Amino acid sequence: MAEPDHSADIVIVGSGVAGALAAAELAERGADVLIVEAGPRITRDQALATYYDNPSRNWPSGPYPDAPYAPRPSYADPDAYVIQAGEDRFAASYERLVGGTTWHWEATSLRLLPSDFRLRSEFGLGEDWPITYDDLEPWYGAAERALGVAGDPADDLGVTRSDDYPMPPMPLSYMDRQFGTALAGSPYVQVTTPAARNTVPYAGRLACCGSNSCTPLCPSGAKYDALTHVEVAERAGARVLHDTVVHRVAIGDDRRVSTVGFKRPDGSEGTIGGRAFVLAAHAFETPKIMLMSRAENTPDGVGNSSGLVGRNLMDHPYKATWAIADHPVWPMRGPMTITSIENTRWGDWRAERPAFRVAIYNLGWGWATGAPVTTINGFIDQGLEGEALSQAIRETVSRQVMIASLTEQLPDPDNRIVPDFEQRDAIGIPRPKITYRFDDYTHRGMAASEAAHEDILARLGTDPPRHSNGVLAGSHIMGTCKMGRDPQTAVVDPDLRSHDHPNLFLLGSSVFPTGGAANPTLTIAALSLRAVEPILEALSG
Amino acid sequence: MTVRASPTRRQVILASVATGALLVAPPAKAQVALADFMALSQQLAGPWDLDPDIGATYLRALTADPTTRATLDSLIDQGDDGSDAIADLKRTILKQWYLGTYEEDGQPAVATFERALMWRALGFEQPIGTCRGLTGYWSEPPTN
Repeated sequence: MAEPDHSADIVIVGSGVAGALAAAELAERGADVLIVEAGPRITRDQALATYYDNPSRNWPSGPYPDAPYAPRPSYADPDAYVIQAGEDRFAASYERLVGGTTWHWEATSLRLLPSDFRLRSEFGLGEDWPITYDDLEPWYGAAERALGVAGDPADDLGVTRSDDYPMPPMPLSYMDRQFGTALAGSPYVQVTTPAARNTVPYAGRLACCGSNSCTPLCPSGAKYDALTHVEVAERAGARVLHDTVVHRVAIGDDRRVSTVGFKRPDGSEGTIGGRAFVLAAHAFETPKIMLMSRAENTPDGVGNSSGLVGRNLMDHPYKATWAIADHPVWPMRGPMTITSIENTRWGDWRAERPAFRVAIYNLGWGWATGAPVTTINGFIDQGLEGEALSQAIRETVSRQVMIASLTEQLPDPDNRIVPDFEQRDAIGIPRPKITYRFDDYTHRGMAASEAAHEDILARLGTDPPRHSNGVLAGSHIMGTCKMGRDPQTAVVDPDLRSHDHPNLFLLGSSVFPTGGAANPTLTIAALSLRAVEPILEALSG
Repeated sequence: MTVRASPTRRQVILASVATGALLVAPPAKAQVALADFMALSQQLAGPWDLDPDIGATYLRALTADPTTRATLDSLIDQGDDGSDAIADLKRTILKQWYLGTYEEDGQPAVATFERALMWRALGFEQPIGTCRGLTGYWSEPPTN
């Protein structure tokens, strides 16, 4: 066999939070680590310049380069990359560049509930995870320290904690305080959402300066993104290859991964050798790489003896509601969301309808309607000018409120992603084909969250609220490489090792058996830190 | 006050060539004065300070189209005649100033991010996407 173009003891494919955090920890423990990223590497200044110069500022991907060799779902042209082959559209977005989707994430850093790990046992639905909340609890704490999570220990988030948040909670906005007054004594308990945004200087990064643009881009770096751990890894000796699109995993006669194959932006091919391999390319690209890796000894793709790679694709189906408050609440000052309702994530009713969480957005109508631009255009189109125009804008936008719910989606093996070998991207790699359908459980979740939104906004005092149509994407891509103890019914074991290949690990939300209603990033981070020891052990295997 | 600079022949030719309008340009005059455009903009936008450097960009974009330029000439010289064309033009000018964007060759472009009037109208010292104060400044309503 030809010498590989690159090699390392540990090859990590993907530089988002899952890959970067593991890379940093492994490199700091002395391992020889190579991070491989399909997309480009940019600086925060470059992203900011792109954002300010981009007239549409399309949300949430506006600041980031469109690399033809590393395409991603685009709001501008949703069908340019993903092929929709199902009853419903899978509209989630993600980024492909060094640092991954944490560039544009909101920074919400919730833990899953103990019951989220036991959905089958407690409610007869979905799956149980092969690990419990207690197994993951110390790793959640480690992840909160790594990302830098600010939270209020007095808030009831449905979990027990063995240690403190590393930072004090985010100060509430004027708007959050108005909601707090309105919801006091109601069934909706407002809490300060734990978030990886600095409230004091932390880990060499500044405290939040309230730019109100966590998504699409934090200008100061007060919000955590995975570039932090890419740089920690590099300082500890790790190397980073960007613009390097891994599309194939090769398996040797010993069933171990021998190399991964990649393409460069010009379409030329190369290989990377190693002793342990980690796929951390999010729940779209990870299963696609595995399923594209067809060879004589892996006719159904790599790690796919269960036949489950690519199946059980999940998101957090999403409902947004907006209205004009009776009094000014002064949105758009401070982080884009600070408080939320979390006690709608737990209850006996979960057998009937999904858990959900309601985020109180601090964006005016924001992305729900394209405000404030659409609001301003509307007044100008009505013929307002001069002082009357600026007064109308101020009086309206200062009263715009928007809240939105993430709901739990059950795993369904028919919701799946496969590579389409007939339809390829600019460098000849098969595009993703999605078959997707929302079930009745999801539709009941939409109805329940809509009713809760009406109730919450009525307590605040608003005009009749407007709701998003149908089911929106929460853009929390999960499932597709399920974790479980039985090799017949799972892709990876509880250490996130492939059941089929002892030196192959999968990191990221692809391994989630179920998704709860909490934003997935903190769980991704906790699982990555927990997998470090097994990955090191695999080096000696 | 209206001050109209009288363009040199060279400026007229260059402006005409740049707009591709050498042969179809209306005969009345070849350029709209920035001062006139700023005075019109001020009248439309109301209380805000407007930057002539940014105005020059909007004016250039508007006058690149001969029809729009003729409408602008008419609005400046004869005032609002109540026509749809004038109403459309006024809306276009207001959107430029408020959003900081304009159209060039049919494509949207950015003249200014931070000095778009929308931020001022919303009571913000600094636009979204920039550092806007010390941690917690958002706990009270704006004072301006």
